[in-house]
Amino acid sequence: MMASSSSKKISVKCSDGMVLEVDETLVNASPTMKCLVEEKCGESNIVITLPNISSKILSKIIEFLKVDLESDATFNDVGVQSVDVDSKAPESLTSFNNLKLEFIKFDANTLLYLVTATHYLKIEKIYHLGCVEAVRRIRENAAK
Amino acid sequence: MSFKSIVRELKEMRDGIGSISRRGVDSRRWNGRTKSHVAPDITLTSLEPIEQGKWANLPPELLLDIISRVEESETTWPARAVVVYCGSVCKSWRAVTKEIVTTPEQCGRLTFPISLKQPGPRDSPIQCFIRRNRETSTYILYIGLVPSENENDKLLLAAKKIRRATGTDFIISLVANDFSRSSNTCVGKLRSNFLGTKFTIYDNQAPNGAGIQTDSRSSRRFHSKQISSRVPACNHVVSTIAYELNVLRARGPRRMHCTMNSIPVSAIQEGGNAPTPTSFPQIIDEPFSPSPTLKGKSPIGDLNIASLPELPVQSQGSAEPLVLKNKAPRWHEQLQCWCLNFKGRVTVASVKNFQLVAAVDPSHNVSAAEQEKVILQFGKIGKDIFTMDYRYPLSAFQAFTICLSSFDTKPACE
Repeated sequence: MMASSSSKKISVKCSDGMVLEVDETLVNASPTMKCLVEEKCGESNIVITLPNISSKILSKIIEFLKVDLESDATFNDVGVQSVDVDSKAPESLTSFNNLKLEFIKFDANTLLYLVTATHYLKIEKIYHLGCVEAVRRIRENAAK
Repeated sequence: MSFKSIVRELKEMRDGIGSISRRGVDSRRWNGRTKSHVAPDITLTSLEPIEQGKWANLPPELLLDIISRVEESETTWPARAVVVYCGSVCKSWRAVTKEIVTTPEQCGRLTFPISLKQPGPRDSPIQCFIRRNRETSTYILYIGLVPSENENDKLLLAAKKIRRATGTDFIISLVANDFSRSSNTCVGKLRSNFLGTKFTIYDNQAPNGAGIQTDSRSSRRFHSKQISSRVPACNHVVSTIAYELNVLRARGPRRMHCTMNSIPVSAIQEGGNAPTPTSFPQIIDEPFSPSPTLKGKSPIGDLNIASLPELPVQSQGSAEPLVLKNKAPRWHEQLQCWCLNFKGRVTVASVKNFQLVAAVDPSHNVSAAEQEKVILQFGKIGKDIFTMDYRYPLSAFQAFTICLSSFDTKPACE
């Protein structure tokens, strides 16, 4: 994940041991992660640990957060700068509304991990989308 | 879909583990509207502990959020079955669902089977309709304003009329195809006297639901090798209904009086409450050792059969029971008939139509507004179709049985 030099990167260690480099703006989108970073504000190379979230789930969340910021881009110049120009963002992630469609594609386990993770990280929008999809599936199953 | 397979595994986990409580059976029964009641098999299945843990062990606040959203999304039947579905997935889901779902009195919605025995809302009635089948002598209660075109209405209760030498019995059941008294789908009965002028409503459980532990203990007492089927241990008198001829006018409307033994007058006084059972009696079908003395958890000790019939009939001791009477119709001179304002819910004239209000005198201290409220309204809208609207303090079960009595009074006596 390359970004412009002006944005700071935070190392986030996941449950599977992998470390992801995440833009500070994206990290701050989660009050939980922001807190963890602030606790270590004195350190030069900040590494926060998320023992309950795998790198696969976290990278999905980061993807969504980027799209979220992108769709707010016209109102918020700060967000635009941290958008990764080189990233291979698929077509479907061009707008936040399309994220809903993404959720429908997830298998049950991924959905579960996403909802639990965004609940823990307190990322409202994505958590809400996850819940909506879980509710939709419960209703679909009940109907069968 | 893998979600479905996880849910199915959780269901198997629930089915397989230990005793099958009646609650689980209720949920499944409630889901399969037209399917016959399926007896659960008590086989133990082993599951990978990892798989079953995932969805069952969501953090409670997360589970609460998701199930709340489901509950709010579907408030009317048949879609509301999804809430019962959530309650039948696994133990933790059931606990959260029961926490979220409120009584019909509070939210105006029927959810679980026990909702049928809980009082209706205070402000506006729950609207249902009854379909009569003359050939099979069955009466079925559905929720809804009128029968829907595609006929997928939600069945609430079913009743079958059985004529006996000394009178008529109506057996009330949760399903339309099983009216046996010993089945756990049977919720009560209505019994009439020979003339069809006096009826008694019996409930299979104590109206206030307080008899839960006693019920399970008493049913265990019966579980020896000799008795194979479960016998309902108690019959609680819920109400007595009396019909009287109108002696002044030969073809005038008859008078009804319903003495609600299970509902005190205080229920309609300021700040009063009606008994609200929270669950069906916990009859647990566990295999017992042949010896009649039970070892293990519950020390039955001095409980003996003689004490069973002494279960309290009135939940509030010596409180005066609420009496309901039918609202007297007005004579309409031009139309030359008796009229009641059913607010459009009844369209065909019939001697069976009635509206019940509380019969109180000034000493009971009931507000005028409460006295005016039509607690139960029943009437014909078509051949073999009747509407039934009920509200607090009556429950769907009580309302249905009172309406059934209207079917059985014999015009020959008038």
